[in-house]
Amino acid sequence: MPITLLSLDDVQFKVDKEVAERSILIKNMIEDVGESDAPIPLPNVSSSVLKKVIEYCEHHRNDPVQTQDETDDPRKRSNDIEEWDMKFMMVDQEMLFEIILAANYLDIKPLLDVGCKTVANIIKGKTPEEIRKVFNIVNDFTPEEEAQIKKENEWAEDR
Amino acid sequence: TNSSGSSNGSNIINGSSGDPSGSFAAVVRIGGDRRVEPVAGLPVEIWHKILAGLCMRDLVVMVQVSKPFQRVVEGLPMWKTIWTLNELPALTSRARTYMAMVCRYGESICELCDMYSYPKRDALANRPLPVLMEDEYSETRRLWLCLECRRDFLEDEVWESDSDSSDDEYQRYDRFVMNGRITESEAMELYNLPRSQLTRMQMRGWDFEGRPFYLDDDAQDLAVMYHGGMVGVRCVSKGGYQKPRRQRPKRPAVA
Repeated sequence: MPITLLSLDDVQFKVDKEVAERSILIKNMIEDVGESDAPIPLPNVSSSVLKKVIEYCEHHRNDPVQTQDETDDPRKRSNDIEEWDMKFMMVDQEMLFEIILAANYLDIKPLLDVGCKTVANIIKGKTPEEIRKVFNIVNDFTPEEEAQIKKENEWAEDR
Repeated sequence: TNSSGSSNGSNIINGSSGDPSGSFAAVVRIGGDRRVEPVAGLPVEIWHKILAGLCMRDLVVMVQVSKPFQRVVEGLPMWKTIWTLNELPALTSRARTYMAMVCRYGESICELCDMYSYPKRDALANRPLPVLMEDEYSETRRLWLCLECRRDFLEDEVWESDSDSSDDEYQRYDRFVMNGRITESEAMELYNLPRSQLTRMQMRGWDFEGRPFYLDDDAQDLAVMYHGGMVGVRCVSKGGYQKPRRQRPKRPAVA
């Protein structure tokens, strides 16, 4: 039976129950409410983001449930990121953050994981100035503070 | 972080939800607390998740981005974990955070296992050195690994791949080497191998002074394993390392 999801901007999405239940939040809602034709309101997710999230859930509808031990230490995780996921995450920074926020709210752990990894990958190897540029961050250090903090961290410059 | 003088604010901390107005006030307070204020559009707990995937040297860069990021990075639980694991000194007025104290020893801490290591007399390469590793995006990254982690890495990656692409890894140390032969003392000096390690090589004969000799190839393989990669061998070799001689283009002869 299909489930209807209602986005923040009142757009309805009809999806299979199996797809919608990739979201633990929605899964719990369905369990609580029982079978119903009423659309499930998702007041934190806009239609453009919800469309993306559903695309992800459709593709991963048959994935096994993630085991707990994979989450121990992200640096030691060796499972490669699926190519499809990597391409899926090739969006602008604003959309990337929106997807992460939606995955967090909807409780879709694998999507949250891959989103976080994507952001981490963007950060890797960049200079502070490059990172500010990518994420639109204002440098609020005074020149003195900046010099001090740079000096303290000189040891890490060779990377 | 300072919640003194507000009884409403403690509601959220002890989890009690007595009167609705009290918990509402607590929510408002939490919203205004700088620790939970979103940074660059994402909540702090998500940044924690993101930053957990970065190595120490990348985190040190994040600290320099802005003050909110400085607080987020300093607030990562990993610093206290590393501090505890390695029994680092108590915090001081100059190194007030766990991160600051860990960073004092940063050069000596492995980015994979978080363990502190320092060079020993018979193992000068017993310190973190950079190794090129492939990450989950199949991109090559430099990680500073301790001797143990480099040895594990060598066993997993290099010996399996069995490729000749590691030319750079096998620059020959040919200063003492005659016809690819090397004596015990030369091997010990050139590759900084302890005598106990030499028994792992097969003796190939005796030189004219009656000293046993080995093949330099064997000694080098042994050194690569013992010091955790060519990066370790290079780090300990005493002047034996010679840069590969590049053939310079000859000047055109003047006619």
